[in-house]
Amino acid sequence: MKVDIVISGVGGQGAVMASRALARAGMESGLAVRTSEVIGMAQREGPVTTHVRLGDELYGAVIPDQGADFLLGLELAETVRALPKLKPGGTVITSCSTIVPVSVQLGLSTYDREALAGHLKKEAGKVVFLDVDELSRTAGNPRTGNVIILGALSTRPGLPFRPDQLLRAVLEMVGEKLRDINTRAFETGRLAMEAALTGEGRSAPPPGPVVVAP
Amino acid sequence: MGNEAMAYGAVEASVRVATAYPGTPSSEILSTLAAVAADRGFYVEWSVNEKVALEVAAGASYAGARALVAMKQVGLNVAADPLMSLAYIGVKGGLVLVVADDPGPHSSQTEQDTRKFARFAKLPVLDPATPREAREMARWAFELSEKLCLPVLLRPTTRTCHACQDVPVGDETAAPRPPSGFQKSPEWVILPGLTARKHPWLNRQQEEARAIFEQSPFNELMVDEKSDVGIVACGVSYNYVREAVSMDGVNASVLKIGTPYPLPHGPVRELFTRCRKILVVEEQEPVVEDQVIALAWHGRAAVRISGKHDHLVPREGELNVDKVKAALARFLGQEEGGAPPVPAPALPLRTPVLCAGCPHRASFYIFKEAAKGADAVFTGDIGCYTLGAAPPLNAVDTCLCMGASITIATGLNRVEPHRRQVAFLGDSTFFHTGIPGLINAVYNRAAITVVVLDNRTTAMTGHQPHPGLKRTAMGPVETSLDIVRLAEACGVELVREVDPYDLKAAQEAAREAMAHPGPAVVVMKRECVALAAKGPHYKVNQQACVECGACVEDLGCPAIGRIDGVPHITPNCFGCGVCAQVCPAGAIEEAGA
Repeated sequence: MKVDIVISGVGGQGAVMASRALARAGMESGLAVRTSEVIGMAQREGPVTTHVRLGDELYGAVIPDQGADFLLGLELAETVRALPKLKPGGTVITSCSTIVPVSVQLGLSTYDREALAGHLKKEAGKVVFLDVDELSRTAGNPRTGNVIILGALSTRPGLPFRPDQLLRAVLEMVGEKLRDINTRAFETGRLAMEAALTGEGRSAPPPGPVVVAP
Repeated sequence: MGNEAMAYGAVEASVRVATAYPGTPSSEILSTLAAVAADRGFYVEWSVNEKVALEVAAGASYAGARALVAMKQVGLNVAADPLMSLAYIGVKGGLVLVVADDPGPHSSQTEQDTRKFARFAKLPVLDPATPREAREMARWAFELSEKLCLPVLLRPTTRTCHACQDVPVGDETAAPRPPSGFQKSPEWVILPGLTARKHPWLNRQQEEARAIFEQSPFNELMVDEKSDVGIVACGVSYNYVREAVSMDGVNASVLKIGTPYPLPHGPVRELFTRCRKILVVEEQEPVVEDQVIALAWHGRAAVRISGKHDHLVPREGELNVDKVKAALARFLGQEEGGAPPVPAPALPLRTPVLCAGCPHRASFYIFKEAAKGADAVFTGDIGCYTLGAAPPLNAVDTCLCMGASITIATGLNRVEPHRRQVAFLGDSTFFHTGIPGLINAVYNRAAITVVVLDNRTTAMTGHQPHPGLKRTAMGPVETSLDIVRLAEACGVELVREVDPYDLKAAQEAAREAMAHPGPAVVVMKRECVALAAKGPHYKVNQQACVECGACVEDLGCPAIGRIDGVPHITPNCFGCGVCAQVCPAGAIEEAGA
């Protein structure tokens, strides 16, 4: 048994919290766990990638290229940036939310949403896009994108824990006041994932480049 | 987390005094200890710098207490003076220096290798592969230190400090150890005569340490009887080697090294008898490799040794499984497998930036405006505000090391007195090593402007307290040091304290300070946005906006974007109100208004 999961996003989106929840759920299931991320300067609107490894026998905390069974993306461009970590045939669950960096506002780089989404569709084995901005509004808190994505992941086969175990791990990490909202977010993610897989949900990224460099 | 695991190991070893100056990736070691210090009856402090931290820990050790000091690798440069001498003096209570290296580097000025520093200082060093091992090493290091009467270095890297692992929590009933007390003796006074006498002792202790390491479970030889290939792997590299070997089905004997200096000879010699060729895999410098080569030379071992010297293993950056696989393939003369991945479309450049509402952004803007028309050089320092170097602020012309903003400005001023040198440093950095530079500027009459970006915390490393706050690692205190009064006491004649959110008043102070003929200090006082409550949101009044772009292009605030070319403010707005003051058309207003 071994599952490698990469979570990518932007500082402040909760990638690290999500990785800790996965590790807790893995430990609950009696597995060895490793997580690794680089924190420090990355917190300030920079990219954050965290690695989670769950298994019977593990070595280091860093997942090799083309090694991840799952890539969870909290921000579209960051999902693409982390794609080289995905195993051939691995699964991508990504938010289509975009956080446009200052460099784009200043005309130093571009953010072509269509091209990025197209690349994911073409190169990733299985990819599910979730409108996490909309879903988190439904759940009642715009900062629960990470938990929505965990809820979506929990529907997938091949994980060493049940959805309720993962949810419990999430709830152990948040304050009393935030338990209801996170439970709702997790369920919202589960339902959206199931809907997306049966073709009923909104699984396509919104079309068109949202921001073009001036 | 590895840092928590090492703190746990220190608690298990009955640490009495723990000190640190924060620095990524080491900071959580002391904050973890601080969280339990009061309950468990030991003392912790955030010291003003690493030299101070080491000396405080050394004093505690002189009194027979077990002491830990934590820092990042560049911190050891600051603490080098006491460290080098302490090796000769020796210690009484176990003294452990946890020095976190940052190959990559992810958040450091250098990629220096603390194992090499340990060897330079003639001190033993432990190099953990995992958080679990780091905890065991932390616990054992105190014992080792007392056995050798030497400080011991524990050198994790980012991938141990900030990696998490399942670590069984053990028996915490370690008996409290009453310190034996400080006994007066000439042995504590480092005069040349003592040094001459202690140097042979220090050299003998190297062999003593090596003998202990010969038996250490942190080194392990895993023999493959069928193979004449050997791999020596040190620290985190051991994980990458194990994974690469298992992925590629390589047959090799693997020697795991957890005590890189002094290197135990026994297991390496055994590898020589079994192997015709050996690959040494370690991050950064060839510390183990050089010792393996020397040992092979002395023993006339007929073995080929590969690693850094024949460029199979990179000497810069972090290793990982992929790099180790590539090195192994070259070492074994195999094809490097795998098609390169399809290149992604152009990705947006996403470098870290100052947060929305960060007072440093306002401070840089203020001084850029105040310096318009003047030929000014902005010297920077180490902290969040180093990010002021990025466009559009472009407000950091130099950055070298902690405290160097003031002194580099002073040096520039000697050669270019016709230019205006403005030095920027944070509050914590001011206390760390800024003050001697300021006194030097006053004493030697350098006409520079010093800007203390006082955001009331040590922000970059996770908001640790400093002497300017009424809080220590142990909890709240009654008094704090005032930077304005300190600057005045240092002899600075013009000292101003202003709020960077008040652009008009702050610009006036900036102009006044830059016009002053001697050193002047401006304290830009405003709490870090990560700690302060948000203010009212702002919005762009579309009718009034003239689309000049000043708010976007002059500030570079991540909360200000454009929709179809027109600026708009995102929900990320902190409410600092600086953009409203920058807007020439008065088009930015409070959202509620």
